[in-house]
Amino acid sequence: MSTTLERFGDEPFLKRTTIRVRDMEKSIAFYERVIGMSQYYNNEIVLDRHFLPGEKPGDKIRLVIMKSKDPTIGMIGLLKWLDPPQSPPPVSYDFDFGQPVFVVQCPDAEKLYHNARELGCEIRSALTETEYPAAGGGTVKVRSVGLFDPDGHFFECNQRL
Amino acid sequence: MTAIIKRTTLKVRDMEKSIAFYEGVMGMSKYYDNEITLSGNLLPGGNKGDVTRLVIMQGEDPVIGMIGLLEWLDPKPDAPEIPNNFDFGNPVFVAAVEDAEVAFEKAQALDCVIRAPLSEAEYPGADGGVVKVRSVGVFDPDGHFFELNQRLEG
Repeated sequence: MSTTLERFGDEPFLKRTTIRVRDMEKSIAFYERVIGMSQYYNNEIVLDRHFLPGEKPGDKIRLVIMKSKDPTIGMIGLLKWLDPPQSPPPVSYDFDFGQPVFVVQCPDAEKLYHNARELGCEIRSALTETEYPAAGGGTVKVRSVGLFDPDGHFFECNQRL
Repeated sequence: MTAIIKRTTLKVRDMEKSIAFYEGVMGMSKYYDNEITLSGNLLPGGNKGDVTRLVIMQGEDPVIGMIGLLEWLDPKPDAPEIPNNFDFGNPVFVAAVEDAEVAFEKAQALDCVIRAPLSEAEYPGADGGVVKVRSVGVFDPDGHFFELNQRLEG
């Protein structure tokens, strides 16, 4: 068993969530400057099997993986189809069936909000404070910002108070 | 400033069916299970007063890599047909497994939609080498795609 699997035992563990992006450089800027991640992986890959839904053998993609503090889990994959080029639909700023919401813990919600504004992000909800039931009973109080990445994926960014 | 992505939350049609997938195939356990009335301020698609049930499934790590399952209780939404696809706006979850064959059997036992049975592939590694994996591609009950990879030597 590898060292990484030893850390997590013998159950599966989620390494990353991959999303399709329209403009790779715009997405990288968001994940670096707003979320504070860095590039872990950046490669062009020619797909050679019928694995990923929508994939055809011979399709060429660029995959960039953004890493946070943990070297193994909690990463985001940014995937852009290079060949054949895609015609993406208009960005949908919503949360419906099939769409993810990323819940982020941040040290300073106000700073994150300013970074997002500087980058021209779509803001759903400026700084708000709220309380909700905690996992172990009691309540959790957070300062939150709700915003979208360049492709309309929603980020709930919470600073614990 | 570095933020941490703690979890990805998904809207689900049938909470018990989803929990069965995340427990039975992904080996996760329930970390959180509560009804929450929405303020209407933060989450897109949610109105003030909507009642939801949020279940958070936890893997081995106590903080990150979790999955939130969110079911609208009141009002009940009309869920569209499950597309079982990977398009703009949809996530793909990439997971490491110790044994892809076992993962495949667990998914089959739960009647999951299988996109790709066991196959092997090589791709460029982060450090410049080559990574070889045995993989299974399955959908959860709401059509979110899971790429389950077992690392192979070489």
